[in-house]
Amino acid sequence: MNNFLKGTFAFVAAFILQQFLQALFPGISAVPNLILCLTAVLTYICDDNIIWMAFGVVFALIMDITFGLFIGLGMLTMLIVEVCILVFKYYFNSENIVNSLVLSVLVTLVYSVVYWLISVIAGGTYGFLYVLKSMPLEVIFNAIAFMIIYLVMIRKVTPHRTDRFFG
Amino acid sequence: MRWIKDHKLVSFLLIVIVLAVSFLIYSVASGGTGNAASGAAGTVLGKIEQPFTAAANKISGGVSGIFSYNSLKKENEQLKEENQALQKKVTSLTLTANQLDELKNLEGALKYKGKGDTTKLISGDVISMDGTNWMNIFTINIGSEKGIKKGDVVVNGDGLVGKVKSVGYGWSKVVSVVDESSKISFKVYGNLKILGILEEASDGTLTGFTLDSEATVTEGDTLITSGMGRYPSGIVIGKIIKVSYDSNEQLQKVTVRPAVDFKSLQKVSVLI
Repeated sequence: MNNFLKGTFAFVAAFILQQFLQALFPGISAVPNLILCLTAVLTYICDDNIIWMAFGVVFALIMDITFGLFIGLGMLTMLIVEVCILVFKYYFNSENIVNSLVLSVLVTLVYSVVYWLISVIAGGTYGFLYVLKSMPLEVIFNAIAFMIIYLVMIRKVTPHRTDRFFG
Repeated sequence: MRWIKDHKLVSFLLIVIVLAVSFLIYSVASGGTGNAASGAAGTVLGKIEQPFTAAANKISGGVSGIFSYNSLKKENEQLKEENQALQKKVTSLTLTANQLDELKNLEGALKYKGKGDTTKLISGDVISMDGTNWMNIFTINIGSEKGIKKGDVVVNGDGLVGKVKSVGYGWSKVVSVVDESSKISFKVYGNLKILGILEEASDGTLTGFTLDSEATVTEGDTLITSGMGRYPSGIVIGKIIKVSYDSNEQLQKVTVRPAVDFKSLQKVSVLI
């Protein structure tokens, strides 16, 4: 299977699973954003990251169409998060588990803050303190999801690195 | 073209920024309704999601009902639907005949053209919630094929949920009352002479004012829709959690917590 098919399968699965979890636990104020976590991990650890960034923005657009307040809001937010990940990747080693954990928290924070900021500009009704209240659980769930995906994917990605020699 | 090939990342970022900003501007300008393409995409995505969400709802319902009998669960579902219809009836009946006449006379005098009596309720399941964990926007599995239109009012057994933001074949996107500021005319359930308007949504609550600034309202009073404007009369909005007097505007302000728990919604009804 080529990357495109694998990516499509993984992102569709994440999209469905996210809604499945939300329906499974009604009343829980936070469920992991699996599209965000998947995009973040793949952009962070893969060398050919443009394809994963593209998957991320396309599925963010799909989320916007399906249940977003405004179409393009999640897409733009996802792109900003991806740029932040590229900056983080430039300065920090992507095979260090502590760095990954830090990134998982940063990704959630940046995504929430940017999403909130754009939604406020577009006429949203929530204050930042209200958004902050839902953050702790969201950060924890996203970090768990991020680390699970990271630990699964890093084993598959490392042997295909293009920035080193193998004897 | 060569520049694009040489600068793949920059090209990608620029293209996505242009697309995302264009979508966003169009969406904000059109009030978030989208267009035919997004409508078709919503229909396809809704069909994909629906079986999985239905399965999750069944599992969730099954697990929570482990200690109860199946018959009780079915009965509970029926009672919920009956309760929904009865609640509307009860609140409508509490408006005395005289008051109704007064309102009708007033409507006649003002040549007011409301939406008329909305009697048809169509129930649907919530198939997806927004991904932010703090907003309350969700999609239901019924749409234009059932006659649902943009702006239709959405309720559940607890009270007013919101309104339909956009609609397509087999899906409707619903925005809760606390996610968009819109004017809701209200009455106090215990004293139907007290009228007011909720005009602003903020942080999951609604704020507004009573028309009579000396009207006696207290924390814990239940508010229902008055029937003037978009929302039909008698739907529970929520309870007052704060009453204050704004000396600058000389208005009695009220803050209301909605009766509906938006995060645990599974079934809703649309008034058409």
